[in-house]
This record gives sequence, C-alpha cells and structure tokens, in this order.
Amino acid sequence: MTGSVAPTVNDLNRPFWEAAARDRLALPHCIDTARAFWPPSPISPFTSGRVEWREVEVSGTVLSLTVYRRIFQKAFAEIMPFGIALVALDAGPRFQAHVPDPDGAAAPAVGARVVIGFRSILTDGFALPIATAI
Amino acid sequence: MTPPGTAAIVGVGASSFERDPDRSVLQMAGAALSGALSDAGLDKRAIDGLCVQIGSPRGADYDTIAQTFGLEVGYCSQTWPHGRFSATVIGHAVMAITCGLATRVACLLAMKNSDLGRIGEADNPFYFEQFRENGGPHGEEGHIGMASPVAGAAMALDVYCRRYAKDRELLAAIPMTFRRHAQRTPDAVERRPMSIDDYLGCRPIVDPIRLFDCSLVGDGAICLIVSAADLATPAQLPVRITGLQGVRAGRDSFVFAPRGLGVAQQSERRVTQAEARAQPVYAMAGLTPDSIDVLGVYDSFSPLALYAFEEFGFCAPGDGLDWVQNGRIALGGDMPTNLNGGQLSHAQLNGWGQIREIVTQLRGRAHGRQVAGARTGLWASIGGDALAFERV
Repeated sequence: MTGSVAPTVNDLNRPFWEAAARDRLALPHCIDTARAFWPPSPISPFTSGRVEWREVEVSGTVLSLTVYRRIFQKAFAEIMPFGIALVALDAGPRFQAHVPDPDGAAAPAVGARVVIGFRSILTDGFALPIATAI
Repeated sequence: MTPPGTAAIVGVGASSFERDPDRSVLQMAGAALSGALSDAGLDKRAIDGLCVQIGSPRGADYDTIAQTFGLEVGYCSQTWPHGRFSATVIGHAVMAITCGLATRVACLLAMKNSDLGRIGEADNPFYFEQFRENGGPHGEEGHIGMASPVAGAAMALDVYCRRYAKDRELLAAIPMTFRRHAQRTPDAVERRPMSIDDYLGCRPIVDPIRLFDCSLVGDGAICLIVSAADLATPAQLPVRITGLQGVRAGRDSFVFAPRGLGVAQQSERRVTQAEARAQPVYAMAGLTPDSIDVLGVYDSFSPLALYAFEEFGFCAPGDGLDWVQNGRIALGGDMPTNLNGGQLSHAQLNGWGQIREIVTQLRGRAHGRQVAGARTGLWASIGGDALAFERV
C-alpha cells in the first residue's frame, strides 16, 4: 500500500475515527481533571489516571498556517497547494487540520475562528479533519 | 571518577561527503574509522567500545560494522536512524569510559541519503513513519498531508515570528553566514556563494520555509575516538569533554521549537536567559556562554540554530533574529558558529560535522577558518543535548 495516506486506526485512536465518520470531534479526557488532551493516551498525561472519550465543540482559533508548495505525497499532488493549520481548540488542546486552497479568499487566516469538519477529499476515501473559517 | 575531564577525543576521521548513489556506506565508514585510528596513532586492537548512530534501515548495524572492520569490542550502543542523537552517542562513550566499561570507544556516524527520496516521499524507507500512532518523528500527520520534517519546522517558525513580531527575512543571516564558512571548508558539499537575492528568491518548500533553510541531502561518515583521558598522549592533541547534557523530551518539548513556544502541546512559557545559562552542561564544565570560543549548533533547518542561541542563553528569548545580525555568528564575530558550514552547507551529517569542526578548531587545525587561540568549544542543540570541550 505504499502511497496510501490513510491513517492508522487502532484501539488507541478508534473513538476519534468513529466520531470522525459521523463528522464529530471526540477527544480523550482525563477523568480526574475533566481536561481534554491530545494526542491520545491510555493514561492521563496530567495525573496518570483514567481516561474517557467525549465529544467536544468543533470550534477553535488558528495559531499558525503553513502552506505546502512542494509535493511529498502523490495522494495530495492533485490538490496543491494545501495548508496545515495549528488550531487552539476551544476544548483545550492544540490540533492540526488540513486547509484546502490556502491562497483562496475563503481560507482561514491566522487568528481566524474555525470549525473542524471531516470530509473525504482524496481518492483514498477516508474523511480527514479540515479547518474551515466561520 | 566523574566528568568533567574523564574522557577526551583523541582521533578524528571522515569520508568525503560528495553525493553519489553508488558509494557504499561501509566503505565511507571504513574510511572514517581508519582515518580516526591513524589520526590517534592507535591500532584497532586498542578500541574496546563502539557507539554508532545510524544503522537499520539505512545501513549496517553495530555488529556488522565490528565484523566488517575486525573490531573486537565489549561495549556497544546504537541509536535510531534519524538525527538528533549525535551528542548522546558521544555521551554514551564518555559514560562507558567513566564507569569503567571501556577505555577507548569509536563513535561512528555513517549514512547515505542520495539514493533515497526525501523523508515523507513514498520511495523513502521512512515513508510509513508519518502514519504511526500519535504522529511521525517530527510531528508529521500523513493523513492530513503533513509529510516531511519540514512542516513542523515551518509551523514553529511561523509561530515564533508572530509571537515576537519579527521579520522572517532576518533569518537569512544564518544560512548566508554558514555558507560563507563552507566556502573556507575544503570538504563542504555546497560552497557556491549565497547572496541575499539568492536566499529571497529560492523556491518555497513549506511556507515560511524555503529551500535554503533546509539542510543538504548528505552522504558520508565521521568517526571520533573517545579515550580515557589518562590514556591520552600529547601527540594525540586531545580535546577533553568537560561537560555533557542529554536530549530532552516531554510535553513542553517539540523537535523543531524551543521549549514553551506554544506549538504541539507545549506551554507558552519560554525559558528565561538566566535559566538557560544555569543548565547542567555549563555548571559541569565551569563555562558560561561568554567563555565559549567556538560553537556548534544543530541546523537541519535554519531556525533551529536561532532557537539554540536562545535555549543556551546566548541571547534572550525572542531576541535571536536580531542577535545573529552584523556578523555576530561569523568567523571573526563574537560567537563564531558552525565554522565548517553546518548541515545547511557543509553536509547533513546529523550534527557530527559541527562536532568534528569544534575538535578541529580546538586542535588548531582549521587552517583558513581557524579561530585564533580557540580553547573552549560547545555543542548546543535545540534538542537540549550539549557537549563542552576544552583543549588540553
């Protein structure tokens, strides 16, 4: 499958991808502190205590937007250029999301409010997280 | 016995660094090892430890290396096939010697990138790392298009310039200075002049990182022989390792950002200059940033050098882009840095080239780029790893 860009889905992150398939954002939470965190861990990075997955608000603020001008992955070659946004989720953690057409007028600028949605934009077919300005 | 001063570098050897897909990694490694043995005046039977940085999947591992070159060693270590661990490899040798597990350790880097695609591309053996659970080794997330180490470096630079309201083009001083150093270094891969127009006009890779902010595809090998200091002879021109510090990790660390910059899951609390100057490597070596004669920093991307100056207390957080201007880091400046040209212009050898250059400078053998009277040197990497050196 060299050339595939499909994510690795396993027991660590399956709740994230199951929520993504319903266009929802789920994050692991530390039960002791009620804080969301990222990336997933079977134990809380704050307390080493128990963890559960909860759906969160999909809104956040763009902290950085980088733009790919060079092709690394064939799967993304057809949609160059594209951006990667670093988003401060209102739910707490920072989260990285894809930004289509980052030079276009509708693209979110740094500081913009965005929502994270999950859409299939590649021939691979899986839905990936996309930041869209609101 | 504890550091500082239990171990010294007594031999240095290297292959040439030209990019050639037909060259053999073991051939380059052999050239580096035999060069280091010859430089140290030692027979291979004097070597009882072997610490290597690069093995599978790029090339031979420690055991094949020992078999191939006829070494018989009782202490071996090997790190992963990416960069970052140059100082740690040498630190393992120092610790093995200090603990009495070895007396003379050959530390070896050998790798070849010219026959591989760039990391992130499908024809590179590291392609699948970007899809690992919780991301690739440089924060990659291949499923959103975030392939290659360059993206994390681009994101951190973007956040840095916004946070401190700095003109991103001030960064030009770093690759341009190191290129001028490479022009004085006979075995540097890239010695063509780089003007400000060349820098401003080179092609974008991942905004805001451009081609000339990225290290060169590298082929080559370097061997450093670390010896118990009490076995070193004056003829070996020994350079003592007087302090060391390991690679740092945790939620406040990201491979391409200073601590507390606010990328990945970092806090937004930068280390103060006073805290940076109180790090163990300085205390161990009895040095401060002001007493360093020659400096080496990790520069696989040009902003990493900038962050190292801040993380090691040469300037205050946020002041680095101003601090590097007007020749400060150039030969003849206050803090001559990466005098061989660094990974940006000499060769991408995971920092080993800069460590070799510090030793060369302290031995007074740097010829057309020698810092007069250089006595102390520091390797200081954005990863937190550091080595302090002193001419005996």
